[in-house]
Amino acid sequence: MASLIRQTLVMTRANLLSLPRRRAISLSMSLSIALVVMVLAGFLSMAKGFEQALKGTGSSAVAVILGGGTNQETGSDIPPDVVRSIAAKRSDLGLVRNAAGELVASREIVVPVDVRHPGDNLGQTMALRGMDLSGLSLRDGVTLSAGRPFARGSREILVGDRLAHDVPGFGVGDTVRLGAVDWTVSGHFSAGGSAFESELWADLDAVRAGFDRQGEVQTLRLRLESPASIATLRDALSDVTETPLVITSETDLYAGQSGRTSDLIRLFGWPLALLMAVGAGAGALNTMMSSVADRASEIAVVRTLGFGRMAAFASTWIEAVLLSLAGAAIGVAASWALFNGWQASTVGVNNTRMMFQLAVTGDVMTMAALLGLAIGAIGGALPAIAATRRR
Amino acid sequence: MTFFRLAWRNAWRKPLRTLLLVVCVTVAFLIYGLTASFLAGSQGAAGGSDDILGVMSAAGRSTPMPQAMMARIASTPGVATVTYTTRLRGFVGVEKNVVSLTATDPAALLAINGRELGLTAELVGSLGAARDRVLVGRALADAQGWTVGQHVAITAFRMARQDGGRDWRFEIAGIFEGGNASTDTYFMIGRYDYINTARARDKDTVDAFILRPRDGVSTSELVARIDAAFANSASPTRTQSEKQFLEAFLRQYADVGLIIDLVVGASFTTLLLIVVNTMVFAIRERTFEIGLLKTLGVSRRRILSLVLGETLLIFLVGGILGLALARLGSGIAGPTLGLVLSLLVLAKALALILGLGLATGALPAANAMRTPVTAAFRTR
Repeated sequence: MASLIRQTLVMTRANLLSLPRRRAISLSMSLSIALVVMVLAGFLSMAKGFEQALKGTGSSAVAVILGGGTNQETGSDIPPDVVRSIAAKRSDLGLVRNAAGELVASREIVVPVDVRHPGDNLGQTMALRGMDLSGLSLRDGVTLSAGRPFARGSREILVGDRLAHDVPGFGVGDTVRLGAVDWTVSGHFSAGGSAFESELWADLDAVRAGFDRQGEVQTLRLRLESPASIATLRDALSDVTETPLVITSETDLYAGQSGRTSDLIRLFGWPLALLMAVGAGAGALNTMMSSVADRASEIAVVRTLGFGRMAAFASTWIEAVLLSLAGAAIGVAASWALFNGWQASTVGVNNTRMMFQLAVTGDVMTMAALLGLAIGAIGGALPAIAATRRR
Repeated sequence: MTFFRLAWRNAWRKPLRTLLLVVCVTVAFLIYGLTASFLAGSQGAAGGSDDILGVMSAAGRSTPMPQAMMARIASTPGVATVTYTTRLRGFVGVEKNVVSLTATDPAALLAINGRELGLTAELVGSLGAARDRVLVGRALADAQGWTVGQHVAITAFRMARQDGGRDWRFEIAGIFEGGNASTDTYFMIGRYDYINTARARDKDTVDAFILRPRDGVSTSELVARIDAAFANSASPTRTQSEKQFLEAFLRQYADVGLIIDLVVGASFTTLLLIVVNTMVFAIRERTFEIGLLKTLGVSRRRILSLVLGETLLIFLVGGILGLALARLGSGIAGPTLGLVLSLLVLAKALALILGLGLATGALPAANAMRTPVTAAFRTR
């Protein structure tokens, strides 16, 4: 056993020292593996970034009530009498009340609005959210980063940091045309990079008036006494109306939205990366074949000297794995440097633009690097077996 | 031994190596074929027409306009036919299963867009019998497993009925096939009068007007004329061609073009790296033979074409195989992806095969040509 390890070490060392003879082809193997790793890391980090933006959105201590049997804000509709009867309930709902005994609640609607810039063909569709003033206090982790909140009843908007950063024309004090009327940007807010930052917030009545949505309420947000008291709320509201109500925590509402899009990105990325891996695998096989051919006489000499088949196999295979390791490392490092924090945007669940950052996280890097290593390990095995047959 | 036979024999002296190179090329062109047909397919903007104009509210897609504006649009010089549409978006069964219905005046739609959508007078006539009849696109019908005569219910995301519900029931009167493979047929066409009468709000408004200009009329002038006519009205408009609209709409989802360019670029770079290096290696092995050929008086040009011919052969076999697989793949991908491997894509791919094949062969061929005979014999 010890002699096998020694033999392998000696032969591996000889292999690696002979690498400069095959510099170009070995480099091409590493680089092609790096490219495959980058393609996979690119797609995975896109899916990851999207998930992170949505999973970090909302608070588990806030309940969201949706009406009409839907579990998305679009298409949800709560009749006004239901809102009133919830507000009038005096029993224990598991909700926080203010000093006057009223529920801390915010009625909200989301309107998709087109924001257009001179020269741009079709504007981007953004989410304009109308909310009661208490809605701001129901957003945990949201801070005002510039300006002041919108004033009640006036056409003022608060703009998410990410949106303000990405889209020109949303500076504090700027005037933006949304729908048929002009709105003034009163301030910016920061929400830790979550999906909230892709939204525009304004007063409920101003939005209703500006977009002909009088009397509409899509969602009702309420402050829970604790995340667990959502069960109390569900029980208490089970008989309040015939309209089917969906009661969920804000965290769950947003986390539920990430699944489909991120799955789609992965569904697109994996087959592409695997196809490229097949190509790169063929390249790796070729490279290692030429390595074996290059060392044919050396292998024959050491085998005659009494080196075992195992040592011949291991040394070639180790060379392949080391080359792919180098490739994977280059790929991972390059994708981290290039992709991490890259601003991307897509269409979110309200049919409006949602911005997020690509996230090259540990598991993304691990996954991509493993694929790169697998290419070398599999592509190197066959030539390594060929090496043992040399005489 | 003929020249071609020599190239052929050379290529197969190490069958495994050549096979692997062919696999590399196949994979690269498979990726190219699939992504290019994605762009050319119904998900891309290629299906959009430059000749059909859409008039939407300048405030955005979701802002309705009064139907009464149609008379003024129709009387604008240069407009041949015009109609109005309202979109009903909703789902069938589960919320993920999104479908959309275009409510319009079917007879006018036939005149404007009939050829592109594959509508016939017969199909449109079948809508006449009852107001809740709809025509379903082939892709949508296949995906949902719907047949003619079936009743379907769509739960609208937003559009409520007067009775407060959101469930809209329709009877399928026919299936339209689309003008060609890249037409998006994942939607249905219904009657505006039915939707408009039954909906709770936004009565007598429309989401868009679509029109076909008269022959010989410049679309850009017409666009400016229509938008100018409504510039200071209660609902200013924004007119653009179907193609422009689709392109801008797709760009919101992701910069699809950029992503595809990057992926295709990466896979071609990988391919070139591998093939060039392997070929350089393969030719270096043959230095002795090439020296021999030279001594026998074979011209430099013949040696050049011998090596070039070998790489070209690998690219042709691999490239055509890859495109064939892409054709197969686009066939089985199903209507939701709507891949179309068009002739233009094929022609571009062929040009790429030839170009890359020559470029890849150039380095090893130049090496082979440059090697002096004396140096070549020393390798033995």
